Amino acid sequence: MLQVDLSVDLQQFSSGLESLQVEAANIRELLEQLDLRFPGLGKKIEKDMAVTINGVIYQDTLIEPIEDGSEIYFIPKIGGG
Amino acid sequence: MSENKDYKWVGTRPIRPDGADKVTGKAAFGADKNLPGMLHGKILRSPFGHANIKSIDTSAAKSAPGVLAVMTSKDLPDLPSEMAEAGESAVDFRDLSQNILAADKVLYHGHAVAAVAATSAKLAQEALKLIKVEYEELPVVLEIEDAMADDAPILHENQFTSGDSTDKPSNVAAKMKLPRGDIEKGFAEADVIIEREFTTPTVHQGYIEPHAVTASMSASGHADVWCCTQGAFVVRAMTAKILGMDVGKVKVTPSEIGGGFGAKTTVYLEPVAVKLSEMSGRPVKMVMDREEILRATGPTSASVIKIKLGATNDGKLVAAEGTLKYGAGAYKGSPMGPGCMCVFASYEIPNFLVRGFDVVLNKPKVAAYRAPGAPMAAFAMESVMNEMAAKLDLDPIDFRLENAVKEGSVAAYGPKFPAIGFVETLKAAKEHPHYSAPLGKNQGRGIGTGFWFNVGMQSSATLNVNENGSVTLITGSADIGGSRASMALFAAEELSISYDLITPLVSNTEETSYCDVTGGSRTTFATGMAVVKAAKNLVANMKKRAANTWGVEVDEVLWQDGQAVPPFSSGKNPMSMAEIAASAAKTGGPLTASASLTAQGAGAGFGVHICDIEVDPETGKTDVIRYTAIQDAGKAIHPSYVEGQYQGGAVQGIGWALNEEYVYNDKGVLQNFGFLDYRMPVANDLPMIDTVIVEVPNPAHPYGVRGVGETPIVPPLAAVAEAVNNAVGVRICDLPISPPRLLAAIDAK
Amino acid sequence: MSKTHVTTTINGDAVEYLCEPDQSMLEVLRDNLELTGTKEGCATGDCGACSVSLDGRLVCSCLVLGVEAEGKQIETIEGIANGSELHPIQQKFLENAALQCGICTPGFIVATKALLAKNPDPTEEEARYFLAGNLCRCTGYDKIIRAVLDAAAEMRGAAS
Ligand code: FES
Ligand code: FES
Repeated sequence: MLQVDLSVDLQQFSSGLESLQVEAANIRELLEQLDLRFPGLGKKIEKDMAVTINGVIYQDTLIEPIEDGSEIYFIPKIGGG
Repeated sequence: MSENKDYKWVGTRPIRPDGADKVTGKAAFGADKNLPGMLHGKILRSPFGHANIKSIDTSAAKSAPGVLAVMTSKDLPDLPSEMAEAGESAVDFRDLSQNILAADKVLYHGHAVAAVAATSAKLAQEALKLIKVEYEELPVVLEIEDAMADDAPILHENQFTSGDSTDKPSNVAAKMKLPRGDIEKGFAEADVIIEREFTTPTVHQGYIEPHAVTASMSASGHADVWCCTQGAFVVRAMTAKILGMDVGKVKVTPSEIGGGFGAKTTVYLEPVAVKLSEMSGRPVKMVMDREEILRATGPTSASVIKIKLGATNDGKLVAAEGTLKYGAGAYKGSPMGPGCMCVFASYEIPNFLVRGFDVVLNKPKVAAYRAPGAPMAAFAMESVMNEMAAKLDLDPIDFRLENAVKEGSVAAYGPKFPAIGFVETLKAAKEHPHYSAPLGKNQGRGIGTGFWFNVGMQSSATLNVNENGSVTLITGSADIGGSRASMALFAAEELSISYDLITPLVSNTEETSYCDVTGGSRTTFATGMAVVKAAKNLVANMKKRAANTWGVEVDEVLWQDGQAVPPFSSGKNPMSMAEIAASAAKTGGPLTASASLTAQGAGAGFGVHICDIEVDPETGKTDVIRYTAIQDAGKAIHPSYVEGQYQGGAVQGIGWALNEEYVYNDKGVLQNFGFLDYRMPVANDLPMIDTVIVEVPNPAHPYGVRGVGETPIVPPLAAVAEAVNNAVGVRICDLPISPPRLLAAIDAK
Repeated sequence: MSKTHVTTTINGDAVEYLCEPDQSMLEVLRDNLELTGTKEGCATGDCGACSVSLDGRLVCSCLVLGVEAEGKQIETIEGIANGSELHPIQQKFLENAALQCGICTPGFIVATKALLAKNPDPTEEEARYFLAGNLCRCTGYDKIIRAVLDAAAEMRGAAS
């Protein structure tokens, strides 16, 4: 099980639900699960956001494996100068 | 591996491979490319800050002497509004296309309206005067608060605040909210609360090299583009998209680049030059002049930021509230997101609320500028931190140490920090002799800290071994500050051969694999990772070749000092890389290795700056008299260029704090459109900029590297302002701290 | 507009060219003669990227007309090294990592040569004031000033 926390901006997809538990072994599965629970949420995250797994930021990747018990959070994608 | 400090090459300071060409004038920059039969392209720009375009008549220009092509937005495909990945961050291609050539509306003074290609630059310029554009002038809106007002002139009738359920168009393109805990409860626990509002002006990246492109479209529909860019692959993607071309038919060759700082991660001229070349059948060169650069390219956002901070008497932060408004310029997309994520990122604060607003204005569309969004946020937050330390009678560094994030802290933007070096950097600042040096009359000292995430993204690298064992190293990452030297150092270290045997190149989009832009401080980190990975592959391959030659098992072979070493029992002699290369034909063919990756785990970078200034109480002029920049680099691959990043970023921040500012009249016309009036720091404005490189390795990188290029511009704004406050006792919350403003504040005291 | 014929000396070579009466020396160097080592940063005399020496005097070539070169001696960045041997100023710029992007470098090197011809032993402050007409946005000037002082020391050593 993964602990997934949703930022305020993403809670519009989850009718205000702040956190949920999801079963997934990598980022692709995680986003698919989220989309099943809250249609559009996974797609929104894939398009606009980076995924953090236990604090490490993963951007533009779907294949990163996620260990059971990890803490998941989403942040806007980051660019730079 | 990041534990191993015994590197032979990494951490040394060899001369950069491209250096000799740059000190002799041989290096070819953007404007240095010429082709036979080349035409010169020029852009007609809007004389109004905001207007509807009623009609454009290009017929007279088309028949003017020497003119071979004239174009307007009608010659570009009408793209749907669609956010798409373009390397570094998502862009709306419709906006991008209309920024390059306005369609129905001009949104800022200097907005491109039409383009001409002629046999000389002068004839092209003459022909621009023959283009008749009928405008209907509209009221301009230049200030963030004005643009957010209910009755503000609206820039985009079809723009609604994203996330808001309203059918009223708005200049607020997006909002963001980042909460934690309960701020009411938090502020109730506070013994001291400070609330202040800060403003920063629109400023420009100020690269010395103008945007320049030479493009040639072949009759086969294949476009060749030479330009100065931070990312050839991004120029390719954007150019193809805007022109409706197949990316595979656009080849982009990056020239040497004369500074970018983020602003050369987008396109202005490239699609226009390609189209003009297609229309005329001739190569087309376009170079902006300084006025065009200042009027119509990449400044960074003006900002209005309000911070409320609560702390207990013993120096613990208990609550914070931030409202951050960033001006995006003509189209949505200010760095409001990263600004909001950065503003409280350096501290552990149990209760906070951050609100962000992305606001369009009649100014050029902002482009990335070093740690986009962070310097303004840090100016506000760090200024309040300094004031709070003074109120609590605490040393400003001790106060920060009390609240600093460390490994395991939950960052304000959500995730938990892995190993980071903020505490170490603060301690290094406190121990630095500068921090306790005595000050004279009218002098003051201030500190500021800065944070930047740093990014990874996609990179590729190829190593080709030549028949004598030397190596050609090819990447697609633009080298804006000596990264070729760093790439060669990685390769030298991994292959354990001399740095001089490696020739690092930046290649074009057809001859190297994909690399994202050089930006976000990612090149040494991410492209470096690709080089390390490719080099490891190469070593494995060479060991295999040697093992086959000797008839031993490959895992018995060691790689040492640039040679394959056989097991002692075999009785064979080691084979040098040159020998392995020389016999490559017989052992499986040419030696080459590539690696591609999407780098993850870019380590956050923290910096602390100490600034001493002296104020002339007669004139209000502020001089920086001593400056020290301290920052965690994870691991410095080529320390000279790491120091150079610290120094250059610090000075850009000093300019932002003291001089730089876009000045508009009430019609939205920029008044200071040259280097004389848009005054950037010059050599006699400054002292030496001392640096301290702290090294807390990034666990996600094989050598512990963190990006270093962004963070240095974040701390100076607050450090300078605090130094001024300590010298003359006035807190300036509106940048720049120009002599008249400071004088007025001193007089008002 | 009819063009003017100009006979001049550039980096020791006798050169003739035709130029428009309003063409700047910078345009002539870059566009007519393909000496693109001299850079344009502003074309208004505010950045120093276009620095050349005209009869031994340091000028912004964007503020000089091409026709003014008649009968004069011009030295550009391309003429600073002695064949393939770098000038000590060039060498010190490299050793001190005094360039990041390098677009300002030709201008700084030409200006530094003019400074050291006038004042072989400048203080840091003198160097900073003399080079105040040359903008660099990348380095913060620190390493440039160090390279200049280093080159001055080296050249004094070589001269004594
Ligand atoms: S180009 Fe001549 S001074 Fe800038
Ligand atoms: S090194 Fe880039 S402007 Fe000086």
